[in-house]
Amino acid sequence: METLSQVVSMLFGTPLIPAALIGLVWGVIGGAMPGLSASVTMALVLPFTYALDPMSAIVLLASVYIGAEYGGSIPAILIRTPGTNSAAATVIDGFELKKQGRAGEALGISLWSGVVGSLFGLAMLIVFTEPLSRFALAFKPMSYCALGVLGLSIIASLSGGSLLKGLAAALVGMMIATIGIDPLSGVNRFTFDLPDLLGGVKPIMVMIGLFAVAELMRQSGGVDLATQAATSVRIVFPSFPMMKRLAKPQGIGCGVGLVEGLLPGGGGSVAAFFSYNEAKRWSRHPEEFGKGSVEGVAAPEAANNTVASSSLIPLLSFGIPGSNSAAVLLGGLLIHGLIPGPRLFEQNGDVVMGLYVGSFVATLAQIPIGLLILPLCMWLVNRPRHVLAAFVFMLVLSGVYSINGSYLDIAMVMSFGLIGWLMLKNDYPFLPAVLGVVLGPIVESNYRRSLLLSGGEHSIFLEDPIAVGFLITAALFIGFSLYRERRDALARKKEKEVNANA
Amino acid sequence: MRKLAAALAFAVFGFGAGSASAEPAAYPHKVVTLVTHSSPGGGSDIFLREMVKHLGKYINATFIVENVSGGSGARAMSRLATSKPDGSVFYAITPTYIYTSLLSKPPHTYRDLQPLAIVFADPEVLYTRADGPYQSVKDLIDHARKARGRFGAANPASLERQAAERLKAVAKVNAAVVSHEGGGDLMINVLNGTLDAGVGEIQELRAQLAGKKVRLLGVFTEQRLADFPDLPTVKEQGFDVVVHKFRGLAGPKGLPADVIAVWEKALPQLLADPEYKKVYGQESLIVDFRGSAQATELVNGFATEAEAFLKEAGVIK
Amino acid sequence: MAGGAALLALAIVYLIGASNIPHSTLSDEVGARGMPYLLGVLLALVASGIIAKAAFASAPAQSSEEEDNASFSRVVGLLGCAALFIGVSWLAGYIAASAVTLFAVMVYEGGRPGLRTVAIAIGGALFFWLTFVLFLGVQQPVGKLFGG
Repeated sequence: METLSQVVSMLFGTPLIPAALIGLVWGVIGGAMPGLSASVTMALVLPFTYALDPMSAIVLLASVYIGAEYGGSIPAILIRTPGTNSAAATVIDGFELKKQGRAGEALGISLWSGVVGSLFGLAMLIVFTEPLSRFALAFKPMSYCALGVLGLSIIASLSGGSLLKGLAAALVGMMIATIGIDPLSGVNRFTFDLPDLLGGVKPIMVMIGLFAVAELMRQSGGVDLATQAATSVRIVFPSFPMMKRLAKPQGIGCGVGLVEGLLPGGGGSVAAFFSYNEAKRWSRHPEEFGKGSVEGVAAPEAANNTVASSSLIPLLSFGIPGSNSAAVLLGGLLIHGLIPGPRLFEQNGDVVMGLYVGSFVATLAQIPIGLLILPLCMWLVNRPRHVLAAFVFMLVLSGVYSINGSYLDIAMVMSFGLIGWLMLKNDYPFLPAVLGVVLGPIVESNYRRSLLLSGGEHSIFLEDPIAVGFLITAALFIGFSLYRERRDALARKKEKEVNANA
Repeated sequence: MRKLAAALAFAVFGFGAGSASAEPAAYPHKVVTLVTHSSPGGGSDIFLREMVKHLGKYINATFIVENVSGGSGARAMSRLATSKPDGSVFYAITPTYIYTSLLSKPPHTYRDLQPLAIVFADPEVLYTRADGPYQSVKDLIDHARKARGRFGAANPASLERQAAERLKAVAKVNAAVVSHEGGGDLMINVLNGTLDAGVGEIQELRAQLAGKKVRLLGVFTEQRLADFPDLPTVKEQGFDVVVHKFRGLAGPKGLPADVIAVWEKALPQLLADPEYKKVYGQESLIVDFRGSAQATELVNGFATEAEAFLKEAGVIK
Repeated sequence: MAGGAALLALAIVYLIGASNIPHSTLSDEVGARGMPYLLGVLLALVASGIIAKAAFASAPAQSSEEEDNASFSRVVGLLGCAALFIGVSWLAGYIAASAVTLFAVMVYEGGRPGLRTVAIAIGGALFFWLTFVLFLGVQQPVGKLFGG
């Protein structure tokens, strides 16, 4: 009862609601801009929070995070451009739905799934911070390496038919990720002495290039008229039967997002891909995935919004951010003299409470704000094709330049676009490449770290139960995929023979 | 909106500066831009923003913080090196700018800039988990003599790495020095016992120190820290390793003498300001003021040492 | 077939690049070259596999694939528009470059080069400047001639 009155006085006695709403809107806009990741969007607002009281500042930042994770899905669905890293998996089925004239439905599903994910993450944050933070500590370099291998093992099922082409794409993605300073020894790899390459190629650049620029190139000259199909600007919020159907992929997304959020390094994009793949595996309609599956939008969107809350668990409990965005939030806490850790809950209980309440407000506010913003976005993408193409092109150029202020980045994204166009032409799948860029460094650096720790003994992996569990699962996944590939190939052959005999 | 708010903040701030009791020193420019390579919320960004809040009391100008991120400082160096050396723009320097100059071939390097002053030193410490078996640097080294030691540093080819490698060399032990992707990553591996100890800045450890999760074993400075009087230096424990993570300002080459004089007078005053003292006191920063000539000497000495370290290790040719 | 050959070439170039990565005593058991070597060799194998598969498959890959992909010359044109943006923004700043690029892409994609298109380009440029520079406050190109 005391807590309840505290909540009520917070809601109406402090600037908590405005902070949550402003943060949410800012986050949605920033997240929707390609190139501006959730962490950058938060960093941009950080200087303003210096002047605010600690609670409003933290609520503002957390709300920006929630908004940005959601906002990234809007351009992913509408213009095939992931606004943030973690929206890359949403592109696949979201844009397919849009091409089928079901953009309103896709946006409604992503909105609803975002709310479900946020609510779940928030509940975990409030109730299970203590036990979950211990789980995060149990991850050693061996476990991370195995987690990366497990992630890579889904390449086979993301390859869409041609395993060899999928593998090639993944390898090229991992090659791109080796550019930059070597994470262990510090020597330069493939940097050609360019300072802009010291920090490596950001995954978002590969994603924007492969998805957005390649799509612009493919459509150039007005070959594709599908986008011109007159679509209504109405947002279709999922109906009750639809909600029931989405519950399973959302549950998968929430579970995966919870785990990934706890672990530094993974972040939203890994969670989104993983949950996409798992949703496909457990779906009753796996054949729809890649061709406009509603479940393929729900799972990654629930996952990345869960990460936005669950990555706060290690942050609040011992000051270790689970994602780049959580790191910015850490900066915000420190600026206001708040030191995360067990004592934060005792000494600044009101701030923590405010964070919970504010995040809750922001989560619920996603629905009205989304319903307000989305029709405008849909109107925008229904402009004549040449106008839309020009604006998307400019959006990509501006967004990419803003990351580092570098023309080299623009040149790189355009090259990735060209590569993507060639891949489209020759039926190479994109997803393995994106997965390779994200997971390659995780696998490599943690593998090397593990061997460094053991002095070159591989047995160190067997001493880590988490690593063993992941590696066994990965082996099962690969075996299963190969078996299915073989079975499908045989089935096709048989069918041919039957047809030939007939 | 951002620019607008910033302008508003400066207006308010300028007003505050005018009402300060001490007369601020005259300065040839109305607006002074302070550039940092860290993004908002990063180490140098916070350093500048806190400093700017109080600097107006001592120098009659408006100070703006500009974040020029990208290229690990290379872009910020170019921004400075191509500006006029008239005292209107400075760059917040840390060892990063020297490492970037040495590791890649940026269009402009630390040699193109002139250090204006060194203000602080960030102490680097050796730490272990609080429930671990090590009580001192000696325990740690003894363990590494018997078995394979496991030390951690936040980043490859950084000052932290340099400190860990030198400790290993001075103690003549066989230890793995594992570098990570930032301090958080490293912290987890120290806390879960994967590593025996890590090297980090004291600011990064505040959360864990407050929660009594980590134990400090030694500090890589010449003298003990004022706010950790019981913490012995690594050197007094018998391992002669001292590193100097400096924080200061640099301008384009050829700064006029009168500009340097204003700053050299104002910065010690700022450091003595009780309000500012309160801010940096919390951060365990060591006041280490050096004027332009001494700062240049320090930076050049640091660069020579770092270059030797990187060459010896084969990281650069 | 051509794709496989290109990948094989990439693998070889990458391996040559990997052999030039400096060796460091700070390195570990695997070393900075380990992963690049592995990736290069694997890609070479996969590429050979793709070539072999294409060579042995009697019928050429089905060309039933709907031909909705633009031609290479069109793609080069778009790359040219990006180059235009870089050139103009370097010279005259962000707003001018956005307007020119928007206009160029609209005309390139079949818009009529009339007053209406010019108006949309200028309005769009202002919109981008408002969003990115004034509202979000992120860095955008500053021109050599007359700044922002």
